[in-house]
Amino acid sequence: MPVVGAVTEHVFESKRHKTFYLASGPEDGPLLVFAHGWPELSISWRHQLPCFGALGFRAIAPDMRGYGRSSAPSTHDAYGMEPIVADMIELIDHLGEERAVWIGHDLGGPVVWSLAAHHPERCAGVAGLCAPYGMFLNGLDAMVELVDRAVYPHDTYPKGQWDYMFHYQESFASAIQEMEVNPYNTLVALFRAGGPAAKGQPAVTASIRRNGGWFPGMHGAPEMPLDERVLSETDARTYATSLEKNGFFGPGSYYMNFDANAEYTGRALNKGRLDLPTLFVHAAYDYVCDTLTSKQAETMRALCTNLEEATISSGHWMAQERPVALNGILTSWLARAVPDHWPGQD
Amino acid sequence: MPTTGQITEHVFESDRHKSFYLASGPEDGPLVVFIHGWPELSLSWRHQLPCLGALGFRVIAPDMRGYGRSSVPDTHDAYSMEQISTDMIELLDHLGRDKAVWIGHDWGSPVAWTLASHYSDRTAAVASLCIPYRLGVEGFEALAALIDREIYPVDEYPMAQWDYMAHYQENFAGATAEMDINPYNTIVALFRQADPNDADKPAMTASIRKNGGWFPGMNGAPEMPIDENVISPEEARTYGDLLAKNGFFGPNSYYMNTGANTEYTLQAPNDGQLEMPVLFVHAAYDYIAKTLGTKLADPMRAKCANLEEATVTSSHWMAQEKPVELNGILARWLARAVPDHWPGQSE
Repeated sequence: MPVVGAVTEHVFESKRHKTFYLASGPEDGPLLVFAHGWPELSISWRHQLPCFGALGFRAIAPDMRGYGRSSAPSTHDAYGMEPIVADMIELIDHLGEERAVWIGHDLGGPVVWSLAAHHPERCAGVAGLCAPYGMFLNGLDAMVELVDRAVYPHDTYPKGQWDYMFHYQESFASAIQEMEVNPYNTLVALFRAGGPAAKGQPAVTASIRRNGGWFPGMHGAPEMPLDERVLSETDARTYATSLEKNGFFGPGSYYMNFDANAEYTGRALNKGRLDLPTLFVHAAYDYVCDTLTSKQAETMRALCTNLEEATISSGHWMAQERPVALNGILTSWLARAVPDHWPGQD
Repeated sequence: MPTTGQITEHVFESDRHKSFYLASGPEDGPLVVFIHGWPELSLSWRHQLPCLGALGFRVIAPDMRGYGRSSVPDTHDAYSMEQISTDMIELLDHLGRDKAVWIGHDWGSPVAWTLASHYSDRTAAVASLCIPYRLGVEGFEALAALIDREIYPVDEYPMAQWDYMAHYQENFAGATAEMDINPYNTIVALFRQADPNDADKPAMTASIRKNGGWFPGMNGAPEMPIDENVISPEEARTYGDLLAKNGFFGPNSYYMNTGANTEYTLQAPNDGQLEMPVLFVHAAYDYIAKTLGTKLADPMRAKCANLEEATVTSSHWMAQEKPVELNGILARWLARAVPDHWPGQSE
């Protein structure tokens, strides 16, 4: 008997893209696809895959393009939502599945929301963690309009917490260069648990251009102790090895397609309205995706007719910081809101 | 950060009993207690504990009295449902909890049902695998009325598949001795998947008295290959070692309290009617607890106001044979039927 919840490694290669992915659960179980964000890997879902596999789902998590053992194209426009969505559709075609429940975090969020908006027939349900529907898909100006001006006054922070995205657009080469100096240190500096203390304070991402980068004058990210509330030393080494191999060009290029993404989003079916079951999970201590206190989630609320919301007391790295809380929320939503996609129902 | 779904070992000792138990999940998660049957161990829930622990439940599985590292009293009457349900309530008290979801299998099922009927205020919900509520607790005449006489003609098989229970009562020492000769072989012989072709044949348990035991003339259970659809060699060794330490006296004494258990069951408040959420899981290929296509589950259906039924494509050792199917059924029922007991609802 195979070990319950064992995680296996796979590669699927199409004419246009190679996808590495992790998988757990019976091959004929209803499909869940977990899409990670910046600058992560399929292993960001290491606490979810065994759990959902043990419930009878086929749970898979690809390395998204630009990451890990998947293709890492060398032009910015390869990292628009449209080609990334095509990667995901090719993947479930390869698996012989008509539909999946798509779960995305951070920049995996706009990927799964785009799947819902453009390919609803391939979606049994869609869940976004931290990144609500609408964010990232309608251009940078639309994001800036939703900035919480009580935290980010116009004069001091004209672009609010999204200043770092403008930094990529204005100084792409140096933005990725400082991360590539020492990917391990970059990773360790970024992957830190959130807490209530920083509430109401402007996030560091709001001052990137003024400071001249994330780690100005420091020759890359500084050495910091690993935050084991998020990941182990072994996990950190895996991320770093991958980022050393691929560099930050691909991950950074996700931020270089705002116009193309907005144009793609403009072609969504049904004016972007989503009628399928949707779940949004707020991270209470994520002060960049400050969805509990700003207007960021309102576009989503206006467009989703079957939306459930939940909150986890974590920082941005929800699936790694509070995996058990997330597993419970996803399972409850799947059982109640997507009953036809539960194991054993066919 | 602790490993998600990790299993830890614990011991709780009261004035009257010692319980060893396995645990998984956050200590403050809503409590789910798994109760194993004959002749098993907390280990029988090894595929459920990490999964429900990773969902945020506090999941525990005791070695029931007579088994493993829990107390092993040496009188039959210590193994009554009244005594065993008290062990579970003491454990719940020790954990500082008002309520649990109780999930029982085989002889763990009447324990779970007893907790639901006699301690409804300590029960958020109850689930049973293989053994329906009220089966066999209203005397043999009531049980006989449920027997499938097409398979078990009354002349040849008056007690049908329950004949082995009468064997314990008539020849306890002999019944126990043949299992004690080689507990490892006994376990390996018992922990097997059934053959779906045997659906309409009399079960071996129907002929135990006629045959003079489970393994007549064989000096204990024969050597057989392990059925790895159920357990691994290492797991079989653990069951075998602990049964060798404790013997089959305790496990078999569960069968020696029929009168006391019936009397206790009939004392249940509200005529034994259960109002809380109830789940029953049929094993499609369990031909002793043959609850599909028979009347065995009918008394349960009459007594449960909020009953859901599901079927797993396994034989008797459901949690070990088809753990993923069972996990999915349990999680779905918990999410839909017991929403107040779902993790994170009290935050």
